[in-house]
Amino acid sequence: MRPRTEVPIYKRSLFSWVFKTSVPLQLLLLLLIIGVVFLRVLPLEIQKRIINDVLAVGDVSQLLVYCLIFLLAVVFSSLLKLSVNAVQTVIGQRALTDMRRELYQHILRLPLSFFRKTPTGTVVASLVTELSASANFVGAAIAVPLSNILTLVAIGAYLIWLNALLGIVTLSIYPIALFIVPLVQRGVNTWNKRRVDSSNKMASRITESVSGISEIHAQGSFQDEERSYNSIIERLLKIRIIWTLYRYGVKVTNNLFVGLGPVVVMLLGGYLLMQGETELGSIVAFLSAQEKLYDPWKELIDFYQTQQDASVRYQKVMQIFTGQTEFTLIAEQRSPPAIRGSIEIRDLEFVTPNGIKLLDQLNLSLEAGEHLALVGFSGSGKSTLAKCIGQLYSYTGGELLIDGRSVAQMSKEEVVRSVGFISQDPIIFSGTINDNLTYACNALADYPDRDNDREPVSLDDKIAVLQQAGVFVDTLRFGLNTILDHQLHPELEERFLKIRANFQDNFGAELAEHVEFYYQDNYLYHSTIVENLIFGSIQSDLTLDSLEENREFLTFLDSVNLKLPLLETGAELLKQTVDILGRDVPRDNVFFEQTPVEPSKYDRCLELADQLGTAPLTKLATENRLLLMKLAFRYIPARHKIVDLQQLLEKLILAGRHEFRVWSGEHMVGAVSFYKDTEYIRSQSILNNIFYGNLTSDSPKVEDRVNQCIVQLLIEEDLLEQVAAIGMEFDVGNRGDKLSGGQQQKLSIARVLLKKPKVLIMDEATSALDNNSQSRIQNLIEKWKGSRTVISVIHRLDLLPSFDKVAVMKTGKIVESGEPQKLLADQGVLHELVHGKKR
Amino acid sequence: MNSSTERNVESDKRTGFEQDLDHLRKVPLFQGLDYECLKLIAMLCKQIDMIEGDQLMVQGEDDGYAYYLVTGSLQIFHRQDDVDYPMKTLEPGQFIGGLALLGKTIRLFTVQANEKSTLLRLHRDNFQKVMEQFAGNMTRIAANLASELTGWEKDILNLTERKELEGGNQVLGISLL
Repeated sequence: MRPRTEVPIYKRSLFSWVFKTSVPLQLLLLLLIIGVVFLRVLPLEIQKRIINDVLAVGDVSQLLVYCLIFLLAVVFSSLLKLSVNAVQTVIGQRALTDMRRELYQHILRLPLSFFRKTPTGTVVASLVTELSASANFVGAAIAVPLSNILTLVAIGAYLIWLNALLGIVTLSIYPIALFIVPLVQRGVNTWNKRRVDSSNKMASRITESVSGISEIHAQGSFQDEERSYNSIIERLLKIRIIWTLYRYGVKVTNNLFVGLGPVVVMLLGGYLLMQGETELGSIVAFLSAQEKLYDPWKELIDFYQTQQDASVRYQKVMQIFTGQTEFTLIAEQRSPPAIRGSIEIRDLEFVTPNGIKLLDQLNLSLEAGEHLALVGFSGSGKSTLAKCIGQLYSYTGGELLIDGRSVAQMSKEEVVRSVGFISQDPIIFSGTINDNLTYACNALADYPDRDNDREPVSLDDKIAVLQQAGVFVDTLRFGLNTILDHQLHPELEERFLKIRANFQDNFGAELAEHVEFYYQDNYLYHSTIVENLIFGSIQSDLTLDSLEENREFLTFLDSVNLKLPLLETGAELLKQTVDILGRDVPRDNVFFEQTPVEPSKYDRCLELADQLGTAPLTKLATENRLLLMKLAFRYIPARHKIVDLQQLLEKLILAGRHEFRVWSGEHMVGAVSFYKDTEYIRSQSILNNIFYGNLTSDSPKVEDRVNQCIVQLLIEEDLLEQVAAIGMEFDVGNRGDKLSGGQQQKLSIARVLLKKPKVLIMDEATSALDNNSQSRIQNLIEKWKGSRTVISVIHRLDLLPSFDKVAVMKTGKIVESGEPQKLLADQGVLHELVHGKKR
Repeated sequence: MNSSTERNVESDKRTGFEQDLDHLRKVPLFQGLDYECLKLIAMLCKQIDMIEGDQLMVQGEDDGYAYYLVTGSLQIFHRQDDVDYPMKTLEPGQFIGGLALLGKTIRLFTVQANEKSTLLRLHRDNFQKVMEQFAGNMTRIAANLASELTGWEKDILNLTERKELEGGNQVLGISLL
């Protein structure tokens, strides 16, 4: 884990990043800049010498030497400038990465209250876009001002050296510009702010009108709305014109001053030349220098604007994230004492920043290993109390002690070592089941291993907690639905074939009506068209997924009269999908489950939908035809009900299946292995291989029966753990969206159980689970009595008897606490909660 | 709209999707919804086949599903003191569990298939994703729900003896929520 920096990031200035990132690179930059400046001045002197020394005497060889030097100076100057840009970019990008890294590190550790009041979009925008401007500035912070100022000084000094009087007069223009340009720039800034305000006003006006459009139509208030909108845009028009004029003003003022330079040179220089006080070469050098002065000057002005913009944005970002973490990360003691789990709460209070008292004078005590149920009406503060004990909220008054030590003073390290927290709304991160399962243990591994007793998590441990949380069978199912990687598990194929034989012998007849077997003459309604056609797997670079791109295969389709019917099916699928989903549907998997269209290709489909019907399908562009063919190939009649499988097409495909066997024997020799009940099918999942077919039923009873059969067969072949391990590699999707709510909840329970915490806090952790799962977890927890402390916010009051103590909460107070049986006998608030209010 | 989803409902050539859509059009909770919204709901409904004894919902659990019964029949049970008391039987064309679409709902009944049945199943998460797209339709759903509840209580009142009402029935009054 990275050590935390001394000064918190939000207190650091933008300029502090300039040298933080890379001092050697900045020094290199400095050297390069000095080189560039020298090479910028050198041509001026060469130019002067050519006119004064060479042209006067007509020395051709000298002329060639000077021209060569001039040329080299120009070339090297360009090369050095390129190097300056490269170094500047590296510095800028490194600064951006550092800023992003440190700010993210800071954000993650901010208190939860910060995230309640800060919209996610703000956090995302700050990290993703807002910091870029600051980083560009950091990259340019040294290079741009230094190279331009040095260039100005060097050229200035050279000019004075050439002719002091003419030099001073020429340069005197710049201080005046330096005074006037910022004045005009101030005007730009002022009007720019007005422009932003006015644009915002316009945006909110539009939003209001659009959202209230039905009222506008109802009242016929079109003209009134237009009037108020027009007044805004007219004001914006005025502001934008003035703002633009000011911006040009800066340019014009600058150009004016710079333009005055040559006049001064010609006037005063001409006079001095006539008086014989200077040479023609010097005057030419002065005139060239005017141009060379202009570029650095302009760059400086631009830099000034960049710096203004960057510092405003940087300050804004840092203002958002002002705030410190509420706890230390690593324990200060070398070896903090192991937690036993006793909990003492005295006069505990939690008041929100708005002054709302969520917890009020709570008192409670729990021996190590005791189990406490927190019950009460909704909004009574149960969750808040649980979060305070888990150090997710920092309480504002009273004391909360674990083993006599204040939770507020404990480091995060100590808390995560010993306290497990399971929330009501589980958060599952993208990644695999395994990544999520080991999340808490992996986090622990980032803290120092003080007692050298940390052991790696074994597969057995993982399987045990998956079973305890009730998500083992699901994981097994994910494993069974995986298409086995032949390279990774070459030895498994034979064993699954054995299971296939056992399945047929033991369960084949029983489950036959729920399986669509891979029979050569039957159409498979639960398979794709391309699977139906090939009826095998392809063992070459070609895959079923890219078959539509293979020209030879397309020619084959044409020869069996399938090309046009498939294009038509693809077109129909596309038309129906676009018609049903519309243009604005989120590209979220959930909306695309009943169509072969992939969300990522939906925009292309929308474009193609507009073209359909205007030309025959065969005349469409090749890529469009391929897209339609792909949709048809992916079509599964049993799943994609937006289109029916035409009988004619079904017959053609079955006929095509036979033809393909013949054709592939000539064109794809040895590349296709056809479905055979004695061979493993590499293009199908493990489960389909065991069945030698597709499961067609979604009945829970059938599912249970299938699971029982498969588990039995896997145990017999000693493959249960291996398949579970394959299942643990299942990708759970973005925020776990490929898992059901129950699966997410169970996985979040399993990951905390894997950590084996001394204190377990469950904040309605099992509320989304079915009764059996709840009971299973409750039974498991009961076995921990005496060894692990449990605090559980529960809503199922029939679970109460398994707890040592219960605390009943109402509006932030504990109104009753004690043994559940005793409280029920007393017929107080708990009794009322359990049996309902007497009516 | 020019799609085939608008074909004559009596036609035999309706796709599976069109048939689903026609079923959902009859659901009281979905009355008056925008057609585009209903199409998206139909797209997120899954047709499932259940066999005798399959449980759709279990008393005391929050499964988050609503079902439309296409074919077959369902039995509702209420469990009290470890005994399952059979209650109503549901016939094709009925929609159950809609309340679970709106928010966390702990089931007060167990429902299971009496025979081989085909159902359309919609989960709360999916329903809410559709509603995010058609936010205005939520008002319609709320109005339908209010009207259903009121109608329901009206039926109960009609079935309740006058005497019982005079005795101060404490249970009635759901339409006063």
